[in-house]
Amino acid sequence: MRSKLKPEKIFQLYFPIVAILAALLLTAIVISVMGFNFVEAIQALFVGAFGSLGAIGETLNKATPVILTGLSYAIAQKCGIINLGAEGQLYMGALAATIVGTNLNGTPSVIHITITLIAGFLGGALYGIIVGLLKNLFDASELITTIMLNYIAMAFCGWCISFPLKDTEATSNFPQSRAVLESVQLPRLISGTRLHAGIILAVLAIVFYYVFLKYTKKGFEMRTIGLSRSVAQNAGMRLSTTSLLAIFIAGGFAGLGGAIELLGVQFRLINAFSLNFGFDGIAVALLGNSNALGIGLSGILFGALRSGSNRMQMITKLPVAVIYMIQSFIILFVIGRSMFDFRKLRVYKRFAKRKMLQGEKT
Amino acid sequence: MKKTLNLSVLILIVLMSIGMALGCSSKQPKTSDPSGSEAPGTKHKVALILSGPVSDMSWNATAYNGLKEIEKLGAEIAYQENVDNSSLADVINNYATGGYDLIFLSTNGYEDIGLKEAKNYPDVTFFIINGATTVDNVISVQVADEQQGFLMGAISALVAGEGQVGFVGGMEITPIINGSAGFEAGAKHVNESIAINSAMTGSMTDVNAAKETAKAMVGKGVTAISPMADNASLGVLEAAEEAGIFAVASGLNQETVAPKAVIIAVVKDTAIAYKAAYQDYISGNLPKETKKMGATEGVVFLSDWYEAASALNQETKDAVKALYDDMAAGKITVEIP
Amino acid sequence: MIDTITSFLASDIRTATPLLIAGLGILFSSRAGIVNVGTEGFMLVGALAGVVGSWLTNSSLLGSLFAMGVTVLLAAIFAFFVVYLRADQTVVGVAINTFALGATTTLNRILFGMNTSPPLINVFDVVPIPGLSKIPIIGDALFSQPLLTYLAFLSVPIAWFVMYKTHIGLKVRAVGENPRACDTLGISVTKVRTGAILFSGALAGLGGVFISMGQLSFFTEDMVSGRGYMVLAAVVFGRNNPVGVMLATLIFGAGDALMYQIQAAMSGVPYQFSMMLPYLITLIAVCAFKSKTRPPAATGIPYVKE
Repeated sequence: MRSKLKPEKIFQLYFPIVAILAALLLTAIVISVMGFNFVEAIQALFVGAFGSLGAIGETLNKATPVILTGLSYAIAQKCGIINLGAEGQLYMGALAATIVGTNLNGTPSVIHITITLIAGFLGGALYGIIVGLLKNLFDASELITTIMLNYIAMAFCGWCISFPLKDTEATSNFPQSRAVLESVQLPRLISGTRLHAGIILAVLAIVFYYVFLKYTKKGFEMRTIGLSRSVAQNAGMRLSTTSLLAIFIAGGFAGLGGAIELLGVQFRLINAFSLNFGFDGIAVALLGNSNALGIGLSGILFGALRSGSNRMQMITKLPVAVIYMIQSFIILFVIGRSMFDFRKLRVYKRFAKRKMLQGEKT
Repeated sequence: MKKTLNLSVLILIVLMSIGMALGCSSKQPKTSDPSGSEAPGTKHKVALILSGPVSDMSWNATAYNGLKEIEKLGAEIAYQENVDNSSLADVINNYATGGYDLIFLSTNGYEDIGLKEAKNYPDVTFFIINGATTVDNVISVQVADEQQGFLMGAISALVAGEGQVGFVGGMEITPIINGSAGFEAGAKHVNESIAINSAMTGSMTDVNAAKETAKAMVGKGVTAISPMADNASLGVLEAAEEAGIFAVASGLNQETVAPKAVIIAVVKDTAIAYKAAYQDYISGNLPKETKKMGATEGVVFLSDWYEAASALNQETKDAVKALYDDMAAGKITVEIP
Repeated sequence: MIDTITSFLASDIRTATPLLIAGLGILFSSRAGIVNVGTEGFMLVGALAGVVGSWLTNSSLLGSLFAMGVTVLLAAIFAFFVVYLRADQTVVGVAINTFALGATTTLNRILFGMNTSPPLINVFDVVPIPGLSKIPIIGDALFSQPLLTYLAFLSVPIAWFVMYKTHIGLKVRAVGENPRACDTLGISVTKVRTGAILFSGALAGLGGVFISMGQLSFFTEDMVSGRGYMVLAAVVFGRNNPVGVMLATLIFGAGDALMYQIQAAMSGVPYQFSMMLPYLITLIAVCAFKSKTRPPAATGIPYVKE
């Protein structure tokens, strides 16, 4: 494992640092143009994300749902399915968890939490499987069906909290479900912070993702289908059932994300329950190259951006719109970090060529 | 693949180390000293947490104006827009530990989490707009959304002639649910038999959906229409302009979009409620129970008649004025669902 | 009843037009193997830039051109990331959407103030076509629209011709199917893809302009409200074919128009169900028109020259 410090290794350190610095530079310019103090702003971004135990807890809490939606996108992608439907699957998972979590009074906490999470998983998974069925039966492209099912899920959840699941004993007529019972709320991991047990579940999901794809037969089949459908078919694999399983698990991950957000943070299902977790999950998966650890880390990056920018807004009083721009800079520079590869520059190429030629001469 | 992984790890390590370094170097003041709020000379710090953008020409905009009024009274202010329930606890925590004495929560959607967090910060006073609970350091102030709706419905019914009246709401939230109920009550108050066409578009930003819904209503015989959908209201007014029917706006500055249609605006200026709450706070007379503010307190009021109202006769205008006066005098009560 | 049909058809056309304009552009980049999730952002930027341009120049035409110029610049950034840096298209698209929301909100507030009346600008007027607009039922719906609407629908055969009968179209399709082969034949994959992205940017921007200046006469924050994703769906549903895209957008438009009619009919249906309707109709339509066509083979894959 131990290797000498080759130039290649130094480059690996160079890219992310330069990418972050460039994003911060652009951020600083925008903030200064807007007439705010950029030193204060950037400091607040970091302090809000990692500056204290509470901040780290907040970052991890916000990372949890996007890690799960990221896994959702990734596992479907491994099997050749583009799952843009994590948003809807997350809503359906949260809906199922709401039904179980607001009922079954008197169930011991551990059991209640477990079955509520399972309900959340199944809610998302069964909703996900619709995508697979439509694809298998009607050749319906998942690029369309997932987007449509997202809107349908949101409207359906909206109806549920306005009618059958509406909290009629609440003090107002605001459409929301009843709060989930105390027994089913996820425990706090560190007192004094809001960090809840969801992150442990996210880590377990990551481990499951890794082991399942790498060491199980079904996981191997999924990867084969994702690489080449014809190879998989020739090898006698059953494409349709394996694809269904993939989208089932994908939907399940997203649904679990919704259930965890419900039991750990929000406690009630409302209209704007998800904050674009589904689409952020796509970016998380791709930024992490659909790799188990990569998804975890890029999920934390997204969580850090969310909690850091909350603090940045508080300290600097920057409008939220400027925060959106800053977040987009960071994502853009991290994904496009190869732009800082000066070895691609013509000047460098010419220089390197000359050096090579000189080397040949001597 | 390995390379990307390593890169991501490194990015995070870089981030974390900088964060730690900054976190240690900048010790944030934990809370302002408890006596701070009474000490003369110190500025009160007031924060406002909003669920939408301050540019929505309606609910959040008037809340922001209220905050600006509070600034004029000598407080230091801060606000945060588009705060979702998922981040709410974090945002409250930031302000409460950042030395803010007074935190406004702009919607009853925040009530649950707000009540829970408020327990952790007994020295900070919380105002929940449209909330229902007033305990310890939390005070709720309700705004009479149904009165605004009632007046809109009544005015619409007065000018609708033989036609129907229409109401286009945005998202299903308390102010719009109550506004919609008020609209129906108001229209019925004027004309028991009038047909009322009421719809929700499910969005506060989709101006086109609002406009198309309004157009479809016009096709069904609506001759006077009112929107309650923040920015999206503008689409409804424009539809009215194109169809040549009357419209009642729900906020100031909306009339220029449809000068031939908008006869009047029924304004719900929550700024007044915010200012009053702050004045109660500095005078030390915090309300002990939840109170409702409406026409009587000047929160709900009528704009001047706009140009398009020149088509109306004086009788109608007088009837509107009389209705408003009755409402301000407390002679009209509106049921809410 | 006849009024309802006319109003339904008119509503369908109005709702479909911005999707069609943007779709005709996105179609070309999609054919060249680019998935542009940033369509939503392009349209939002176009919507604001059109209003700003029209406000500055007092001309809706110059305003539209200005908007297309701005979105071409944005598309150039997108192309720089996905074609030259070979960054993942979806992530860059997501970032573009976030950026567009932030930038348009900020600029709109700086230029026009907050909560003030929107500025009065020149927008696209309705131009009834003499004679045709007098046809009963359909006349008022189909031939009493802004000029841009007619242009959009007339562009469909042109787009079809360019895509299938010209050298440019051939190159675009080839680059999406087999970039390696194109490279050997001396077609620059980078140039063709960049060109397709810039073109799609211009048209997506124009689609946005139609939302703020064709359907309405002002800009409001986040006014595109998810239509960019519908454009993506329309391009896939339309099987990457101009005529297909037109039909897809008309189906989406019809779903929306139906929703508005049901809302206004006081049917007692909870609004959440009428909101689901356009999406359910699309789902059913996608399943009904079973297709064997597949997306371009090199979709989403950056091209690395050897």
